[in-house]
Amino acid sequence: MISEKSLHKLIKINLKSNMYLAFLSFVTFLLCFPVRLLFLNQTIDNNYTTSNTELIYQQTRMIQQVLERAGILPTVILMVFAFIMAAFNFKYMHSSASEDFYHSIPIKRKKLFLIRYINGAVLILTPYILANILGMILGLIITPTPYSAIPIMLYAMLRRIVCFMAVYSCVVFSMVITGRTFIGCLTAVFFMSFLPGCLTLYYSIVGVCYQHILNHDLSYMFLNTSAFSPASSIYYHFGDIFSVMISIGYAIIFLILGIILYDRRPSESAGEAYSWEITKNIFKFMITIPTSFLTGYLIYSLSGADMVVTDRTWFAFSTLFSVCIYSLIIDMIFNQGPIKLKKGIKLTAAAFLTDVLILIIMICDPFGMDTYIPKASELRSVGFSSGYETYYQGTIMFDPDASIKAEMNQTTDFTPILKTVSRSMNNSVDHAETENISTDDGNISVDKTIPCTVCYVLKSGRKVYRIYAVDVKSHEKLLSTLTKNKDFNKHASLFRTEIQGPSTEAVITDWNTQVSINKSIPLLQPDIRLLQKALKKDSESMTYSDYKNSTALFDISLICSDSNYDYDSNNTAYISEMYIYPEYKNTLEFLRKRGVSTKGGKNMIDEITNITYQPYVNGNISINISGKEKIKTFLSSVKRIPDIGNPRTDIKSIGYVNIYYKNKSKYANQGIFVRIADIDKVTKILEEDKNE
Amino acid sequence: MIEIKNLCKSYNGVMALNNVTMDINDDDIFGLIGTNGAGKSTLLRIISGVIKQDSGEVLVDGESVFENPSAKEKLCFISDSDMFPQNSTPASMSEICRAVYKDFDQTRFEFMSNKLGMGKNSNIRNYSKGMKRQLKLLLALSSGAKYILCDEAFDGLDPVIRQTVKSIMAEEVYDRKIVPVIASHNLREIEDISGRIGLLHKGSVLLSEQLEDIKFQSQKFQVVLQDVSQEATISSLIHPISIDRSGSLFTVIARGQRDGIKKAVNSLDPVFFEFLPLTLEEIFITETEACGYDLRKIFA
Repeated sequence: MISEKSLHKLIKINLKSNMYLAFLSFVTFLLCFPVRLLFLNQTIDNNYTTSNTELIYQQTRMIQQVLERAGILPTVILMVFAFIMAAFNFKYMHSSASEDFYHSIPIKRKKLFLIRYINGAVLILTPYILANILGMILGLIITPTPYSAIPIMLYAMLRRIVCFMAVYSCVVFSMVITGRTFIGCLTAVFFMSFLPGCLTLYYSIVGVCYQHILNHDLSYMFLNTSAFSPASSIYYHFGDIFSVMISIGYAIIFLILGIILYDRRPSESAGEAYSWEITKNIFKFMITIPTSFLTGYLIYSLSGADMVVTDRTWFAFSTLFSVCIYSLIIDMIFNQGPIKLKKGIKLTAAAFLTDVLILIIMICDPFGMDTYIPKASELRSVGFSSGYETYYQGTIMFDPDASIKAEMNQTTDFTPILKTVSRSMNNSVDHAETENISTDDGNISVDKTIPCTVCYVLKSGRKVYRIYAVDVKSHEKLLSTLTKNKDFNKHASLFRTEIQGPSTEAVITDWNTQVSINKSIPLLQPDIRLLQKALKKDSESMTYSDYKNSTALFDISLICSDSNYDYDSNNTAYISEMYIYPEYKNTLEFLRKRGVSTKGGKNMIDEITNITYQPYVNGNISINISGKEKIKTFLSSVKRIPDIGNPRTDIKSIGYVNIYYKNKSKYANQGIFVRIADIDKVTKILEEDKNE
Repeated sequence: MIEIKNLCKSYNGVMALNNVTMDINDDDIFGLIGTNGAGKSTLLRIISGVIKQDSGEVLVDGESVFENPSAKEKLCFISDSDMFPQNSTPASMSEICRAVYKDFDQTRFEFMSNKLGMGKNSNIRNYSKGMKRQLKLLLALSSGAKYILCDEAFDGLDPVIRQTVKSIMAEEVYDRKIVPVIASHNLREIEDISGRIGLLHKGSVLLSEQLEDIKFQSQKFQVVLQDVSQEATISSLIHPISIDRSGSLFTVIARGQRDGIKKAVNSLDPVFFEFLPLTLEEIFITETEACGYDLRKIFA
């Protein structure tokens, strides 16, 4: 029997003969770490950094991107290597000639498997670790990164290793259960994408079939489905230790299953699609069903559909038609040609019937999932979100998914919410209900209802998300009630979200004229935190009615002096603009202490040459208003609004105003949305100027 | 000794081996012959532990083979493919064999490979098919395994190498008592070297006996009869496996011992009667024809 010493020898022999792969891996990771660090460090140009602090900041970001968790490139490369190595190392199972050799030598299959498994991992991970450590040492030398960052860098390295092992084990397992390398690779992709793909598909399709079940956005779906794939599990839960444990779990489970099944694998399956006939049937079934629904959904989406009966019919037809086509294609791939197609007919029929059943459940909703409203006795709390805060309080980039906001805005005083949603269900209000308004340019469509997201938290802890189209009146009544509750306001406030990143100064502009009312004031991180605290406190004490009846004094926008800071790639929510109301006592006090005059903007009437007004319903018309008195009258008769808003029930009184200043070098031309407050005065002015 | 008992194996519903029972004794050179698709390679793969049988058992010196390294150490399988691990050289292959076969004779291997002009660090990828076969045979003969299973291993070898390998094998049989099991379609070669023959057809064993015994039990003769109508009489007397007629000359292959057949034929007072040597090829053809594997029927 083969001894342990011989086992080590075999491992050594195998490593020696594949050393070129280790070399390739080493070169790649050298480029990823030390070389990349040197290159990036060179590009941080001292001439463009305003201070030493900025230089340190940029170098710190560079270290984060290359050596810490933010660095996605090495992770992706490791995953690719994992895939290739596993396929390369275990493709011997897919050739009967190779199996004749390997299975005839006096060595147990388990040991043979482990030799190749270990070798594959060692060949890639050893160079990776070496290059990573070299990069860490170099990073510590060329930047002022403190030694306390070493555990963070080591943790990032460990995460990537774990990710590699998860993907590697998954691909190895796929090679064991298949008989051809191409099918093995496809199967590995299947394992890595099936569950997240199906969940994402489900979330997307609910929008086709259900009116009230929430259609989550991609970021939500990724956050919640990433745990179900060995490739993305490392990013689950923002990549904390829990995600590492899940990835380790994948690595271990796939390894153990791989060993067990390899022991039982018939050698004669080399060259067949799958090692066992039943595996082939299972995979065929599991691939055809979601891909048929995906096709149906794509056709539905590309047709610009909008929840009409005929569109659902197309969705259903496309789904059922494609299940037959895909079944045929998969049979041809598995059988390497149009042979044995007759044998696959039973399974095709089963997939077809399963699709029919799923379609019936989704379209007819026999279990009442779409109309489900939990009883009050079942509920722990309810969350509500309609986005009113982004209309009244400020603008936010990468606004979190409505479901996340609803989850945060929880209240135990949920009776008004239940009443409102029940009423909207009873009225059968379609969340896509619109009103057509005829204009000179033709008809434009205006929403009559407001989409409101509700998160029911049941006593069991389960969360149920729904979306309802609530009419304007009910929405206003509900928000007026909810915002009287300080707890609700605390969570619903926009200022629970981070204000803009590495800002250094704030620009304050008059609400109506958008002209800067102060020189920009310096605002570094400690000041921003104080500002956020003040805004949070002020917004918590304002109700919806307070906002509706008030007018903002000015906007605050924060300037980031780091021109290279890429907000888009960070893709995290942050507030880019804040609206300051006279009721914001704490905020106004904060600004006063920093020398900002809070009395309002300078009277700019004398500075304006002319203004133009474009009614929203008739964008082709642009009415020019000149003359000091007319401009003054017009501006006093309109109220600036931050956005068109939803629903645009007063659409005929909304328009866009362009303000042109005499001193163009001092005051840039401004554009604002307005609502006409005094319709008579404005009509008179517009008529006069139209005639002119 | 290799004992094969009631071995059955099927692939995708096709019966590759159907209740195969035979023994390979320690003092045999076993020739495994059969028609195309008879199951020779399948049988060798099962014996070497590459694939597992559906039912039945294979015992090598009393031990089951499948997933049993101690039994496999007594076997060395040379398949009909020319596959070697990627980037391997004679040196790396001998290292692998040394690691798995504890009796591997490194000195002998180096000596033989040098004689055949195989540089120890030359890449096997660049070898011809014949050279790869040579290397496989050298490795097998140096492995120290008792049973060498060769699946058409001599194909692709030039006559000189073929002779050399056969000589080395004969030496090994004499010195180390190795037991070669050779599957081949080259019946002349099998006849030259094998002591025992196993003939497979459509997954079943037609015969498994010593070659001498097979020849002893079947006879080939030519006879010219006084009257061609006596053909029926001959058939009834000796139950021939095959009769070929050319005018009044009959060439007959029949089972039975020489004396019995001589007596029966002589009773018809033939004009001419002579025994001829029976080759393995003729035995092969007649035995398989008797099972319906008839060339005339294939092309009918």
